[in-house]
Amino acid sequence: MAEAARESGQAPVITATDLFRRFGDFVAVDHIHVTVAPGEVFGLLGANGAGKTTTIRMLCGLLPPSGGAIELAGVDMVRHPRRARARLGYVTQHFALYGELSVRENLEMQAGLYGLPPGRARERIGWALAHLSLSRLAGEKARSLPLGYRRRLDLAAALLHEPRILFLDEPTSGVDPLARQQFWELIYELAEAGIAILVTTHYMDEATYCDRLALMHAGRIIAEGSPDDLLARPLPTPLLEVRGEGCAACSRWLAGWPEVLEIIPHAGYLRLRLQPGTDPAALAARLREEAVRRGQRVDAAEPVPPDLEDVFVTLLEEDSAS
Amino acid sequence: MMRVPVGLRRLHALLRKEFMLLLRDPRMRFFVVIPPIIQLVIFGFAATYDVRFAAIGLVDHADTVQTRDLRAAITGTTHYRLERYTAMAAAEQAMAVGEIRGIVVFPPDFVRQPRIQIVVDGSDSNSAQVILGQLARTLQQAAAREPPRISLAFRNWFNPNLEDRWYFVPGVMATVVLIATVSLTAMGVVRERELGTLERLMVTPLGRLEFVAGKLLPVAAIGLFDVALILVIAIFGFDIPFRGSFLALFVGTSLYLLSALGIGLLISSYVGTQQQAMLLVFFAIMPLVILSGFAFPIANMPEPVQWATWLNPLRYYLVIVRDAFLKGSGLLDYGFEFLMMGVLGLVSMGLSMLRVR
Repeated sequence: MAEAARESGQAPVITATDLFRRFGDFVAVDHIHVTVAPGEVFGLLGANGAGKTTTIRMLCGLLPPSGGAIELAGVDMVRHPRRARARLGYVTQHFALYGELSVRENLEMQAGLYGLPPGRARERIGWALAHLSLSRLAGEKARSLPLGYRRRLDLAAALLHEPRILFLDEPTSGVDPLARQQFWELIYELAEAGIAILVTTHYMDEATYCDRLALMHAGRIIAEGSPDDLLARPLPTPLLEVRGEGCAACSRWLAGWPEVLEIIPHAGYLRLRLQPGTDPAALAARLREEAVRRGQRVDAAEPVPPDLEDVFVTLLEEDSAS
Repeated sequence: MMRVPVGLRRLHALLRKEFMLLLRDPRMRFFVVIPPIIQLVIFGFAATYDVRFAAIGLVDHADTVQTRDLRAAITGTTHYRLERYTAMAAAEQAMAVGEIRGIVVFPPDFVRQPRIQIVVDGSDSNSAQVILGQLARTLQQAAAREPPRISLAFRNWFNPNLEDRWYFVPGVMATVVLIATVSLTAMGVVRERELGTLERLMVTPLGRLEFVAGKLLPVAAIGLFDVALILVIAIFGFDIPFRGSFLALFVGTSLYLLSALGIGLLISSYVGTQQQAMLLVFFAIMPLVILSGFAFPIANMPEPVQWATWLNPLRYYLVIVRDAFLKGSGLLDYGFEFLMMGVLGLVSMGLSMLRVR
């Protein structure tokens, strides 16, 4: 859908140009460019301290940039922050509503803060309660909701004024997998309705749900593209997957092999990242021979295509080296 | 349909939230009602400079009819109990350990040369002065055999019996309101910062002035409530006269609240956590109360300190409150006090608004 939006030539609703922020001598965000089209889900990835939250705070108008320009839905955020804020919704990393107020009271307050007339407010609150499956809990105190539902309430509160842009700062951290799945379904629905969504996340599986990704490191965007684009990049470090009962024992002697850069243990299998230039097939054959010699059972040892995490690890290493 | 300005709609949403949170929180309800009453009771009954009962040592080396009369005069005041000592050393020892608070000494040649020595425990200087004054007056009156040529008649205006309570309770009103409103303001803003809800408010189109108004108006309402509560208790519970104008008190209270909320807001702009806020409130309130004239007259302070008290809103409000109870002046008598509190309030609020983004 985002591809369609961009191909149809829709102008981006989030445009950040040459965005820059320093805290004293520390450069938190180093001249980055971000554009998000209507209906696009844009993921911002990176470790803690990479500059994701600083970026999102500048885009929301919570932090004035040291340099650069931000335009949200045609409004200059730096010059007219209050007008721009009326067009965006923001879900913070931690629950940021009032635990002692009920679900409905929280939504009523939020509607009032956006200046919705009473009739319109009632209508939108009704929509949000129904759409996010909160109707049954409308009278409950927000404090007593399970975490997944609290995140929904956060989202509901950010949607009452029908923003054209939604910022989600790690919206699913700490939420159980099923609730995360449901939350992403909601995000897709909103994107389909034409809202531009910028989301930050730690979870790699969530990264693959995004239409487009940007990887941040030390304040810069070091790679950007759709998940498929990023996966298609040729990786200098070949990957090998080793399966079998004996593979936990294998990792002990594999650690001594010079060709093996890193051993990533998973449940029931190992992933090996190999030094650049290694022939994975030849190494797999040597590995199987060695396992047989030691009497350890290995069912398979095969070269595998990289996943997003492999790509990011490589990109970060390249960036740190340069 | 009538169009309501959007700004008012936002303010209404914020105020509604503030009042709901305030009234639902049992700790808040406690904080608003109980401390003022406790302070009133403490200052109304317990805290007083009046010496109502004290043990005094007596060393009577003469032991004649005259000294017996004088002894009777002292006990006749009903404020003192006399403890007899045969030697001065024993009496001094008793005063050193705190059994007695003063010593009256009649020398052996008292009949020939009527001189009396009075020693008081200066480690408690206020009580020492009160005791010394009262003993001296009592003894002088009792010793005057013939009517004196000049007779002085004393009258204390506004507080005829010089009741400390009349002096302190109006002051308590001023300090209680200061403590309650400064800490509620500082804590209220900082709590939102700690919870992350402040950030959430700041991404809405809510303006800075709307936010400040939404935070301060509920606290101002609490301040007015506390004033009314204490007023009722002071007048009906402690029988303190109210001779002034309610209008002057109301205007004065409003301007005082403006400056108190300004101080609270300024404190909140310097701290990140509620604990820091509480500490800073404590550090700010102590000097404000001590340098206000609440317990120690400003006129007795060194001159540089007197100048510093010009920045203290409590100083101005105390004048208005005490006059309202005891003197009975009108609205027009307080132009200067109103002006100073208004300026202090606006300056501190302006400063804190500049500091927060």
